[in-house]
Amino acid sequence: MTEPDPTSERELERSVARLLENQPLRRAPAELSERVWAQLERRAARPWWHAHFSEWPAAARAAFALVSLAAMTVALLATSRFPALLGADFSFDLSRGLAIWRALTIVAGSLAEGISAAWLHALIATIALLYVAFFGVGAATYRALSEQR
Amino acid sequence: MRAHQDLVYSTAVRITANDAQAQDIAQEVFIKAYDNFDQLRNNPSAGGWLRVVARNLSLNYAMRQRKRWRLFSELSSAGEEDAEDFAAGIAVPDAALDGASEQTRSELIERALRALPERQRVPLVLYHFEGMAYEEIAQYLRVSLAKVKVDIHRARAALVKILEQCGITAEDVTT
Repeated sequence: MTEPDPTSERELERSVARLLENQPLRRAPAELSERVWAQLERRAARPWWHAHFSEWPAAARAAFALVSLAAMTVALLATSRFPALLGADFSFDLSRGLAIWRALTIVAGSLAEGISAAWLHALIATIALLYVAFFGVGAATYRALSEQR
Repeated sequence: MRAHQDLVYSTAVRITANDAQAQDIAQEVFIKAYDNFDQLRNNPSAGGWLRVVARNLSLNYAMRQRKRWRLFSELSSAGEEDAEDFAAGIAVPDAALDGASEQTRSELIERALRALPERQRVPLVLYHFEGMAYEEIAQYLRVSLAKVKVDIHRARAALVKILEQCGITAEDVTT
């Protein structure tokens, strides 16, 4: 990216500065203050539990924190006792997890070997074609809709 | 609020070039001001605070728009637009030439600014109206310093060309 020539740029900057320096402020629409007051009134009229948590009354915030803490404790206690209630052993066994993973990779490998190269290429080409088609349709729709605005 | 509403609205509308969005931004600025009323009530720099908030919210809007448009629009344009295309979109009243009133001239300048593409208008407005330095603008817009300089240069050149076609030159303004 070539930067503009400094001398001509300074002249251009001076010209534009002269054009813009006394430009008056744009007049705000008359209804702006009414909109702001209406929004403030709407905000004041809404119930406190619709407001941001930081705006809740202190008592409500404290009560919410206590209830949340109690709910978390109950949930943790219930989950820790759940297996015992069912009489099952839910302890995590790493070797069992690895064995399942190995079995899955073997199945996936044998499936991949069973598919011929022609089918694989056709599948990749179809996916690519669909991707391009969706991208094109999306882009065309976006441009068509945005140009109408 | 009335004392500052033109300032806030002008900042927003010049950056966004969208009246409805500028009104929404101005409304949000004054809601924030209301929330910080205790700090701002007797603060002599309340106007500056409002201006900075308006600028930041407007830039957030502009950045969101830019992300949305970049994919489909900016790829298709080489970046060097013809000022005549912009000028063609500005209806110049007959009175715009020699005998243009101050008000007509100001309106034409605003319309010419609005006609600039966003990537040129935003840095130009930040430089000339918000008094920001090139480096600061580059940081704000998260683009390179060179790009900011080039975009502002193109914006200036396009603006001068459009206004010349409307019969307005820098010399006219100073007289």
